[in-house]
Amino acid sequence: MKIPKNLPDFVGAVLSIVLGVVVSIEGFRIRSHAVSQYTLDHTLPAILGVLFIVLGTMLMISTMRDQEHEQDKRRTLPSPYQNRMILSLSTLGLYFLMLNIMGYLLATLIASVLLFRIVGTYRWARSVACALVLTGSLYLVFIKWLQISFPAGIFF
Amino acid sequence: MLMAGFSEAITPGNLLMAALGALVGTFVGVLPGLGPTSAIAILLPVTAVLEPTQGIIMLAGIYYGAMYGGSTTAILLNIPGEISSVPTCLDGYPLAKKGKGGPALGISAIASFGAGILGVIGLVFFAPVLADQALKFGPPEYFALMIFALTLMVSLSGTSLLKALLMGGLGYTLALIGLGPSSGMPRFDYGSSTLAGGLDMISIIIGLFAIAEVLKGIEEKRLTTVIGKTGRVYPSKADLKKSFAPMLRGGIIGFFLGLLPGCSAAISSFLAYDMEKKASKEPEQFGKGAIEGVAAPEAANNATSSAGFIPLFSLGIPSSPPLAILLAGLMIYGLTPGPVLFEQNGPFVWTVIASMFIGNAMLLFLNLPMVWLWVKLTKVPYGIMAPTILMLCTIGAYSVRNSLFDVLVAFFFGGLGYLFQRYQWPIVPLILCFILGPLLEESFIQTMAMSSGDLTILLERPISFAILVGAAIFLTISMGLNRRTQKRVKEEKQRGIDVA
Repeated sequence: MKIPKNLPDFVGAVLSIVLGVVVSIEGFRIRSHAVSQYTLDHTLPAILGVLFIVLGTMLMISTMRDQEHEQDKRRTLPSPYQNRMILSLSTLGLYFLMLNIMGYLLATLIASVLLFRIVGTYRWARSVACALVLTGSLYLVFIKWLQISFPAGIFF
Repeated sequence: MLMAGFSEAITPGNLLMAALGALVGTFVGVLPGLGPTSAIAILLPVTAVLEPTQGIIMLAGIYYGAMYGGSTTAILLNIPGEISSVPTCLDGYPLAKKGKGGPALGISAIASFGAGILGVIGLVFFAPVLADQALKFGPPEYFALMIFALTLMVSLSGTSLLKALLMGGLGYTLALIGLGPSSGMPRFDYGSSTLAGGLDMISIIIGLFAIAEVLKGIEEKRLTTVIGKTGRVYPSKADLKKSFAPMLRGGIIGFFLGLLPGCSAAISSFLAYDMEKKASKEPEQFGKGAIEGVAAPEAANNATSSAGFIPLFSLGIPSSPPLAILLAGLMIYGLTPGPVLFEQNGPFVWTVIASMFIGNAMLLFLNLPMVWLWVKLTKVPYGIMAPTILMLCTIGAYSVRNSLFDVLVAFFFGGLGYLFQRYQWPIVPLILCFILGPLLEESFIQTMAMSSGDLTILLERPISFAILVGAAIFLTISMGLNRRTQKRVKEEKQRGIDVA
């Protein structure tokens, strides 16, 4: 098989085609529930399904003969700080899990310490100090002043 | 009506929100790496605790404040926060290198103020007329209008129209999740009651714009930058005299282009710069520090931004990414953007318009005597800013529906948005179609029911036919202007200007 010249777009094209199939199947399922000829909830999904498959195929073909991509390669090269970005995103994932268990305040404090340490590369002591100031400020503004109720967690 | 708007706009609460919006907007405009779209996205849920008028006044203030502030980094750091600020860099930065950064910032603020006011005056006269005509719209006209809005994708497509169309399709698909409008049956829920409730617009916007932007900033290891002396901010009489005509020309070009839905501020600022260069008696000075090269694009940029409120308020069509988020804001407040907005919420619209006059005056004050403060603020370390923004994003996503699922959606779309930006898949068509998707589907279903399934009704009714013809004309103009702007951006990138 011919190797695509623009791999990221090729992957995007394949995902688009897959999405097209999924959306078409859902459109077909919704159509079977239609009670009258003007129950048209399936129309847009059907159009979108076909659109994804057609446009995805066109994009796939264009990635095989993509000339300009060579010039843009510099932009898609991994950065030396990519690990820091991945760690930050992982911290957000961890933060989401902690929110349910530990509650808003404790989870925010822990996630902030980690983010200050990862993004700012500050020492632990400074990261903790920054996190305390940030969590405290958010608590005062959003919980005390604006009265937004956040998850309390299982410990409180 | 406008006077009534003024009397409402000068109440302490509204004045405070206009000032706060202008202040926050200038702040985010000054900071490289956080544009008006991200700022509005983050603050949209926070403003939900305010009254609709105050909330939209603040968000509008952020929008035009960021347009003002964006010129500061363009002139002092050669970093245009938005593509529309690229032409400002061309002469602004050489002026800053000569120690004339202050007068360049001064002219930029005056040009932005003059053009902003020109745009708002246009808004006062044009928007009600357009909205009045649009009141005659029925479902086929609305459906035609949504098709018109689709033509925006061409101007927002970035480097690839194919990818823009796919992203638009993804936006529509995400909007389909939830209950079907005609049957009330859940779609794309896969047995999950959470998905049957649909995806929240704000979480997606926060993820795609704000979180993705921060992740990009972390990867690029954004740092604070050392800036040289800016000199005195107030421009000399000679500078003002030289800049007056370019400001006027730039403002007029920007305003009329801003009336066309789909014509971005980038198009008008490049066009104004190029036209000024052609009209100048000393074109060789352009690119080396001509003050006219700052005045014209800044005026055009701000006039287009203000004029963008005309299609937004009167037709419900956003012409730029921040206006798309503002459209979402209007919807969150339960306001119907489009023709009925003036009829149903007249006092609200006129108060917001009146506050724009006040906000622009406030911005002139914020940008002239206080420019030293903004220069200092560019020194806030990214290591402090990024975690703070991420925590605010979490609160923003959660607070709309008090749902942790929305936080997860924001984080997921943050990661996805980062990938989209990295591989140059345009995000704005996705958001535009996500916002317009339900309106398009509803008007389509109503049109089909009205015409017994015959779509030729769109060609039989004069207004819907005129809208479709208009869409075709705008599409052609848009494609031509977009191609021209892309060519110019490419040229400037080759000369070393990198858009943040």
